[in-house]
Amino acid sequence: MTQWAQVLVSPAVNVCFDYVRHPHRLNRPLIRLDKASKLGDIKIDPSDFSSHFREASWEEALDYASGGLRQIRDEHGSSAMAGFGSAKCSNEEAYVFQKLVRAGFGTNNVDHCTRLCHASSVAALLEGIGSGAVSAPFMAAEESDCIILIGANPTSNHPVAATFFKQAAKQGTILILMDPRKTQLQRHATHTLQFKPGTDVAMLNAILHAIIEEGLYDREYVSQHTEGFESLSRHVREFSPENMQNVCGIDAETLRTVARKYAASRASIIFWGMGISQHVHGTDNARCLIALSLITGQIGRPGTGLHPLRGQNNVQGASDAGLIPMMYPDYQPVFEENPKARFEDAWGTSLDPEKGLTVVEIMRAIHDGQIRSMYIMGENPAMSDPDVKHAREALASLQHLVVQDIFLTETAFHADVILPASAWPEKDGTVTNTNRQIQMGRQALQLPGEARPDWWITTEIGKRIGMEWNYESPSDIYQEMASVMPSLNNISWGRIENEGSVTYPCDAPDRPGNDIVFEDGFPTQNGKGKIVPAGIISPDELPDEDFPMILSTGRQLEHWHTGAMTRRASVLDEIEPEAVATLSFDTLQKLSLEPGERIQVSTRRGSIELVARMDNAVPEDMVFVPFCYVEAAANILTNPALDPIGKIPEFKFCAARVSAA
Amino acid sequence: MGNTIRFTLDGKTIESSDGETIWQAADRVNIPIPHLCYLPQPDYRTDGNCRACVVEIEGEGALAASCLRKPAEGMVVRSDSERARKSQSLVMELLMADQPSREKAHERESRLWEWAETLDTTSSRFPARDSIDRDLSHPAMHVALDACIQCNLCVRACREVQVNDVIGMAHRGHHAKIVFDFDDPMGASTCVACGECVF
Repeated sequence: MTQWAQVLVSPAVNVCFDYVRHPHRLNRPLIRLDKASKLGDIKIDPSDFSSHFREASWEEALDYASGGLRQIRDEHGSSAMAGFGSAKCSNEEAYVFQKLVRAGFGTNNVDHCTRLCHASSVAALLEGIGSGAVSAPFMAAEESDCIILIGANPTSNHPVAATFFKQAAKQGTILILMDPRKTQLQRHATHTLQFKPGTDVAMLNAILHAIIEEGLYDREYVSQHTEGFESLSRHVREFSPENMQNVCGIDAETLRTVARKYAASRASIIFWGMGISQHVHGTDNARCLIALSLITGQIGRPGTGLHPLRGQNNVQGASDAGLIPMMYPDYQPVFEENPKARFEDAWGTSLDPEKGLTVVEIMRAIHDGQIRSMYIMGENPAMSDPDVKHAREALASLQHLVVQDIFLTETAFHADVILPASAWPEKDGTVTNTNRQIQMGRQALQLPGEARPDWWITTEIGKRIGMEWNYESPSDIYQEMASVMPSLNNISWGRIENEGSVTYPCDAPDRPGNDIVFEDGFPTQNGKGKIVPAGIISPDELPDEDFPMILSTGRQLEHWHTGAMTRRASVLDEIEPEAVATLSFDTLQKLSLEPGERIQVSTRRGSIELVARMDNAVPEDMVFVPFCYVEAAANILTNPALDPIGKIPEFKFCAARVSAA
Repeated sequence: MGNTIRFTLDGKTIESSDGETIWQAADRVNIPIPHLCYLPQPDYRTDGNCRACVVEIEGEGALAASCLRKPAEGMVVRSDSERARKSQSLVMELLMADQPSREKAHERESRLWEWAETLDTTSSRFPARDSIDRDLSHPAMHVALDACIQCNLCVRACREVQVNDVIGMAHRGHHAKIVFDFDDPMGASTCVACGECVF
């Protein structure tokens, strides 16, 4: 392995390109006919929207869009404004969007879907090791002797990375799977720990306990490169594997075996997904993983490290570019004087010193009457937010909503103006993948009708709300980014264009970027990694008499995210055409249900109807629902309770009831 | 790079380093040797089962598969001798017996047809096998086993490169055939449509 595997693509990519030419594609700007027609539960047929929207020229639509934004900003102040960018757009588009919100709207209320996937991981990583990115690419699996994969289902969600894990397992690498669902990779795993949902911290603390108790930690590494070991050591004393086995459902001997394998292997690496992050204790979960790697010194060498598997092609890049309410580009805190002064200087305007609101907080602030206007680029919160009924009502109550997208999404149902934007193959621009590789995307298709690149639209809006911008191409924007983002040092636009992909950080213009980072300490203030102990917090909503089961949500192989694109990709939609919920054989039997039967899944927030599918990967008394199906939107059910630090909702756990429909 | 050796291929002296096969050395110096079951891409193991790449090595009784055989110092190899060419052509003729005619071929520019033309063997004296229906059960791709030469390349793609373990070679001898899972229709199998076997 394998340059070849590096050009592997996932099935969704191989067979999905026809979505860009779907008849639903927006190709002219649209203006809402009647503001009064906004309702939280409105449904508009994307193939005939004439009941709610009329076509408009770009001139009129841009004036109308920016006029409304300007008016509310001027009348109600910056705190009445917010924006959501997208991890599906380019780095340049993410950068110019957050700049528009910060410099143009005057607020830090700018966020994107990283809030819904890895916000807690990023919070823990920034706190612990001073960087929110991976310490090693997923190709590092090849050089590893022991891989822990926790809360992730890569054969469905990260198929290219999954191939590396399978290859590694075939070469004899120890593969330790930890997930309440018995995912497909278990066939390749040496150890499968199907722990009880929501007990991550108990299980991981028990492993930390075993490593410390058995003296398997790396004393030299701990003293040279970390702080906080003593308090962790005291903290996990009570968490012996013997004490925790009944809590997490994994017997003490297995916990100890795994602890030994991870700590004692020459090179061990941890990969994790949303099973770790999407909990009210998501930050704590990630802290435990960071502690594991720090106390054993399993980081900063080939085959070691920490790798949160990113869920969107540019979630790393969009976060780096500053689509985060508390951070400027390159994670520079908005609430600290120095970075603020630097960006005020660079952008020639004064900036808001307060942290902005996050995705779910913004929806709450709309209900509270604080936020009155939003600009949403390429995000679909009406499908992706938890408790979407609440979110849709919020969107419908906005005084002015500008949506920029390629389809009339469920979010666009509530828009005052819809601006037809670009799909990935229709524009130039860079994206940064999960491995920190900045990659050049080149326009391969013409934009349909009057659709425009996203960076152009945002720039035009910016000009109309008072920005003196003259970006004429993505490379103009990139150049400005490189001037304010040290992570892009030695990586010019021209270089990415020539090389196709360059990994950051990079030490010289003529040297490849560093795949592995933190060889000698961390980018924290004292250069040390901070070990932060985590206590047990139970999930926000536990099963009870009325809602005796657990609902967990996620993706499936064929459909991506809210389905706006993949459900319009003919082959993918033919393979997975209808909404399904998966339950184990035993659970189905207990409920007297048959596979293929229509069922109703309910929580305290609502109900959906969909088809039951038998899948013994799902533990007993759990129902798993992919969130891509508009006709049975899983997020009608989910709990908007947030992790207090990462502000990520608990998509992976809430109380539910299942019955025949 | 390890030790460099010299050998002769089709009258040309070639330098080669440890590990390189005769086929790879030939490819490097632009001497084309037919190959079907071998895909010169990273992660793809040579299997030596189609025998289209056989070469004659001086002093050896049997022909050797150049995709597997490594050259040795002083070795005299011919891919274009009468015996080698005849054998390569016969392999092609045996395979051609089962193929749909070129007008009806699923992929007229396939590597098989290119080599058949190069070897001037586009027809066959051998009887054809029974016709095989196409499997149209999967929305993303069709399986046309009437064009299959059972080279096992798709098996290696599925099992060794992607490690999806869906495609296999089932049955024995004359009845051998490519199957998905337990000879399920592709659309009903555990295939994830990664497309590796199509490349």
